[in-house]
Amino acid sequence: MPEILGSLLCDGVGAGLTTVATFMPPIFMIFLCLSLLEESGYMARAAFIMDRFLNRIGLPGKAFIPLLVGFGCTVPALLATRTLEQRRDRLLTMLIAPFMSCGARMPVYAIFAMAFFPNQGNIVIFSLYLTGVVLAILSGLMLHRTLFRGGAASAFVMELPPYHLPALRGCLEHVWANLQSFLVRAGQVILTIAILLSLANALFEKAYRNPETAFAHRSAAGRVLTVPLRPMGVTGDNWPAAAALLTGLMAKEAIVGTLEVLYFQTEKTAPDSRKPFDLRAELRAAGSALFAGFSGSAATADPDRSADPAARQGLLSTLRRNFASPTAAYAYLLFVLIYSPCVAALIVLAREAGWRWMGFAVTYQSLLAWLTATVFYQCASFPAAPLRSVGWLAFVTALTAAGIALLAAYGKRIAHEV
Amino acid sequence: MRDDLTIALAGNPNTGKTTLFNLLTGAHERTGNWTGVTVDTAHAAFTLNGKTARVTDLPGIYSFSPHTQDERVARDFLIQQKPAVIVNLVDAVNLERSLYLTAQLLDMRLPLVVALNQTDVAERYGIHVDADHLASHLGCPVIPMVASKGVGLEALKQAICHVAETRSLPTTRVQYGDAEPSVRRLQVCLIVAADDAGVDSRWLAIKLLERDPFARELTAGLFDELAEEECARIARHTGQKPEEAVMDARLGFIRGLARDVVQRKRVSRLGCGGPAVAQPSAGHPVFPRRDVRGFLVDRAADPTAGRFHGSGVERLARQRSAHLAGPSGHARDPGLVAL
Amino acid sequence: MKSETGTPATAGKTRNLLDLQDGETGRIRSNRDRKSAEMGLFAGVRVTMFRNRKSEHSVVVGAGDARFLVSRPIAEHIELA
Repeated sequence: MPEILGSLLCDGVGAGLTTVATFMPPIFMIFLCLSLLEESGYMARAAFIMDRFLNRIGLPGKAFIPLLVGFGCTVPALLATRTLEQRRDRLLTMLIAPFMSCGARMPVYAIFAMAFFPNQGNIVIFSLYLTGVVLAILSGLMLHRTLFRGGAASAFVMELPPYHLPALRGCLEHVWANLQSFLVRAGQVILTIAILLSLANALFEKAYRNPETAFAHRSAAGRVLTVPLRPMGVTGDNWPAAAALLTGLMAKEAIVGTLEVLYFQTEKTAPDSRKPFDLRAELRAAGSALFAGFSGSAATADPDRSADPAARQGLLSTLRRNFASPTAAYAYLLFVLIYSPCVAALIVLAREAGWRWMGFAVTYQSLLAWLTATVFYQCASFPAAPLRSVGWLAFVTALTAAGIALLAAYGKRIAHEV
Repeated sequence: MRDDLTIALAGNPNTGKTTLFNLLTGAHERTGNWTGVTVDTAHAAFTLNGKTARVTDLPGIYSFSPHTQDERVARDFLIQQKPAVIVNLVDAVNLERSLYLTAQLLDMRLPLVVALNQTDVAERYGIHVDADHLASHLGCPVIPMVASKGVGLEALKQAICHVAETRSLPTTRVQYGDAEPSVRRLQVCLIVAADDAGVDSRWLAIKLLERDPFARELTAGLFDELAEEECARIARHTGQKPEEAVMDARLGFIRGLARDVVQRKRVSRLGCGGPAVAQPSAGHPVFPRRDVRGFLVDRAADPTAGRFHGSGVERLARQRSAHLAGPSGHARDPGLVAL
Repeated sequence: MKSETGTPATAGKTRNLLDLQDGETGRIRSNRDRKSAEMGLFAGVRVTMFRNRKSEHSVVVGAGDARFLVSRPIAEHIELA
């Protein structure tokens, strides 16, 4: 058993961490640009420009800053809403801020893009970010008319700080601090999951005595998770994907790592366990991966030439095997984009807005994620199974209408509160 | 950890408070603070004279009103944590505005050190602030600094040590003009309550007059009636709401103070870095251009911007602009100093 | 040197911040809004209007060296001398 644990840690956890680390460069750039924008004083001017548009959804231009910060990480975005004076504005902004795809989701997009959309990876990832923004706007509009009906766009005064050259050192320190917490958190979560899963695995095997039955039972348990995700294109065999969504609740960086670990377990393949550990080769591979990331070629890199050829290719081909089609993969990505933010963000949300609003946010976002992914998948696979598609679309429409009506009704009740 | 020294950093946003924080603490432990707007408190520590000094960077605020969260967070921190020293970052370029917060800190009667920051930029604009004079007016140490370059750090540390060891409180109290008798009457009644709550009685009196809900909470509503009586008295006497009267008196204090300690030289804007400003045209914010015209107006002819050392030309300019302001101009303006 | 412009206060009509056009200056007589007053737009301060367009929801004013974005409802209540 120790050998299995060892290779699990190396290939599962290690590969998961390497993948996340490979995407540090784009995440770093996002944070750096945001930091520069804020320190230079430009953000405030941008708030002025956005005031006109944000007014349509009942928010002051100041709300633009938290939303933009959300592209880096949702937690500071939620904290930044404290500059809004009206509670209503704060709540609405906090509810739509998570739709600005945070940096931690990026590795997931990138891996899937590599596997399914090798030539149009950039466009695919960009479309996801754009979808996030569009959904934020639509949600804002809808919530403005239903749940937050009581309020109107509030008046505000904001100081425009003078432009000054941002202190590069200060920015870099900020960015580094954020990156560190990302990596540390990812590492912790992935490691915990790997250990828990291997423990569970070991227990299963001990209990059943027969590895075959253990495997079968575990798959059965996993399949249950996939049932709600079927309309989205997640097949029963692809239960690691469903499980990864669950661990994504803890930290979005963990999704890729979990996929690695779980696919490895289910397939019982140990791509590198027999290869002797060569430090120099590993370092060189890590270096070239980092370089590839900075030079912008990571997302569209040819999988065969990527950093850790065997493991990377292993994951990519595993993904291709488990997801029925690129459409299913994209639907999955849509879900990852929209659904509940990570636990850290949820805790901040609960602290800033209260547990009820946090619960609402989780429910709303997860439901919206499911609806969007389902709609996409069913529309895209319409030619293949028209009747099923129509059925699901009808259901989705009914659910959406009911949801909106519910929100409107509740909005009337709490009109005085917000 | 009784030997630890607790220091709080308070000041307006965008004044380089975070820079000062980094300067003091060496920016080694930036835990708890996220990129961007300082809306959460940041904590860090450094060694000062053998003791550990714990610094808390409060959110940037303009005043301690109860309206927004960041102001409440800052106020609660000061009242509950009772730091040994408060370092109030004051911007030499925007002195009057910065002093609004200082005036409120004086009200709270807490150990204070004023860090007069951005003196280099101020000199460039021809603004000279007499730190010693300001210190004697405020009754607490004033340390001129340039936080971004590290100038004044040692003096600041010494002042912090001194105030912490001697536990000295600022000697100046803002006088509230027409509201002053009401403040005094209320204060006498509040001595015990203030002591119980751990706050200054005069501050509590002022807050009750301003109808601050926090003050009402602190006194459990026992003095509301009394406060309302005094409010009514002020309203009758001054024709203003008590909050306005208090604010005007504060502004008058600041105005007089600034007039006394700030000297402005007329400086040509061309060639020196004026504060850049967005001059949006066609709907797009463009990158900074110097607004020469605007500043010549501000600096040369604005009598409220501080006293001019000056020639008859400046006096004439002041009078001319005063005349242009219209007959209904300053006479009714309580905060404005008579020319 | 540009001098204070704009319609001078006529009997009975108070001027407010929104009456200033781009480039014009005025002195604040009173400001009911507490927050903007605390931020630096208090009575006695000379302000300069940098951007005032009817179609936009807020205006850009300068007071001393600071610049502010003030939304119309608030600017309306800032009276000028």
